[in-house]
Amino acid sequence: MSASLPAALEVCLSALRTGASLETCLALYPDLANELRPLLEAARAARLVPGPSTPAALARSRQRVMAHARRLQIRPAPRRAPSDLPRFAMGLAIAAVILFSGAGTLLAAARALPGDRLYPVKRTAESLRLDLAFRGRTRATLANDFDEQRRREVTTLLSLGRTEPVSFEGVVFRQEADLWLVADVPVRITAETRGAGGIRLGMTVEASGSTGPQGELLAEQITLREYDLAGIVASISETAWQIGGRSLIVDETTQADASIHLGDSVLARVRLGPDGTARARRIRLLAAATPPPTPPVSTPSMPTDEADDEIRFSGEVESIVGDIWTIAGIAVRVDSETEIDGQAGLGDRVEIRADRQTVGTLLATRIESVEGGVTPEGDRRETPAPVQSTTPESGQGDEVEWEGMVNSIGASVWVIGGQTVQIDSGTEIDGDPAVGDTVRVRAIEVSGGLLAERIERRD
Amino acid sequence: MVYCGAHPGLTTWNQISRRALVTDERVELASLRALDPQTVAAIHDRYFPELHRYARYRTGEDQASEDIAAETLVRLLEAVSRGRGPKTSLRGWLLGTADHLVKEHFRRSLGRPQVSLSDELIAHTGDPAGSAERRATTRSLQEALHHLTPEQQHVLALRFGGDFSLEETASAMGKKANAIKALQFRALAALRRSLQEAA
Repeated sequence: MSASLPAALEVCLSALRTGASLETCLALYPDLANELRPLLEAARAARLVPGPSTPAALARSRQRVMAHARRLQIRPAPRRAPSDLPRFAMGLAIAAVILFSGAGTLLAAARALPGDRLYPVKRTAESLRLDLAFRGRTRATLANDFDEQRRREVTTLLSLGRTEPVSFEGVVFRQEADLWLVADVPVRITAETRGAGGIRLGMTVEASGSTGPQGELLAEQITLREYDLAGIVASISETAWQIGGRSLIVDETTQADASIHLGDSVLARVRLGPDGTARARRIRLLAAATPPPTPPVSTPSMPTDEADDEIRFSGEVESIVGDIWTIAGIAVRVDSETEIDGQAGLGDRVEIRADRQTVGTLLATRIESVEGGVTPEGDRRETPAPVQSTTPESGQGDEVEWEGMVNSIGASVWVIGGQTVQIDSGTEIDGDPAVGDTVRVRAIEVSGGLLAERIERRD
Repeated sequence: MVYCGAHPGLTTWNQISRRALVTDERVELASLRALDPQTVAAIHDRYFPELHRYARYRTGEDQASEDIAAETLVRLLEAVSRGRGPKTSLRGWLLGTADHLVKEHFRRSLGRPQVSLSDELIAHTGDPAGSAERRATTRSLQEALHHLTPEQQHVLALRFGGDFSLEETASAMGKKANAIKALQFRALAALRRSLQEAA
């Protein structure tokens, strides 16, 4: 066998992929043709590309994986307390612990919770690790790990019913009256809670307060840490971008989409530092300026101030978590006012109209399926269930009933057959419906829209 | 900062893209370790179709392949929550785990692949007839694949079931491109022998 046969085989395989015939490929290597032919015939037999996954399979798997993630988050894990000792002294203390007590004590400190004797050792060890991380990305990764530690400590304290002062960071997933869900932690907002005004779903906040035996964090302070800022790119430099009238620091951890130019409309995920500095974690292109400006110029021809707060863009629906849809990497909140095309769902290509909220989040006003979306044509026939939904019809008085596919499931808002409906503790939900299932809905009209009384799975 | 646009002073597009991908994946892995729901959902939706396709190629079974794809992602969560899991290539780690689960599946099935072939698998072979003959050919392939080593099955599933390029296959399997060329050469030779014996 020639030593070049594997290489010749690869060349022929590449040629076959581009549509070349078997004979054409073999003509490239006449000396090896007899050996290549049976291999290429085997390759032709091996070529069996399965079709795309059905939306139903995707939804089932997603439900299972997300449920598992929630279980893992709830599982008790280690955690924290404030460090009053000077860092240097604590560093010495850690060294002494390692020297005289062995690594076992340090491991014990790693499992310490706020209020435990070893907790200051744990926090100081973390601070030292952060200080020793030279590269920004390593620091960012470590900081994320430590943030996660804080969240787990809080959930563990809550599960143990212990009362301790704590502070942690997380995304606001639910806001129901005075009870919020930050990451997976229930947070009680009271009249004494500072900083809660202006916080909206999808923002990342730091919640400080104390854990309590009732399984909630009683919040004393809510501090905004991250939010989405939509705006026009007014300047670009190596260290800072000007977006929507705000200067954002950029560094090696910032991810910016390709082909963003001055004048483009973008969405930036902004991280606020303790000192008030604003750093861009991610910058996504929403819409290119028209006409697109040629590479960065010092005095761009920018659209006027874009006083219009409505943003339009299109993309694939990548995820639906609660009331937050992620479309082309951009998080958009839906509420009871959002009009959702009955066909729109995971994997679909949609057009979005959204309003910028005061602090930068996007609230969708309309989500509409676009024909010829990213899903191959052949997959359309596999879309689960009858997606044609009946529109809500007048029932007796202010009661309405309709049947349709579940487009999304949120903590307090579901979208069924394109119709947004609120859910509360009185809503009867029968058959454990999931996204993609067909359900029958009975709802009543309330001031803010429709409130579901009963949702029943039909298939 | 990672800038992916036509900005002066930066190197080639490919270098920029690679850096961006590496950075994206690292940031994503950090968010995944925190079990951030949005990250978990995004990773699931991005990789499930590929894992499902891979498992269907290897097993030919709809239900089993769906379970394998979902279980692969569950194991990812388990691993990262214990501080383990992928350190460099998330995609490579997932496909390696899927490969392991396929092998487990076959072991549980007494070493024989189930031949309840997915209609969908057959329907997308490019042969619009979808005839009984094609079904028989597909079944023969599934049987023949089962006589190959797991590594040979893995490389064929990536290249001919997943349509991976040589470079993507090398990255997913943690090998060099030349090693993949040699491996696929041996795999196709073994497949040919297996098909001939079956005939």
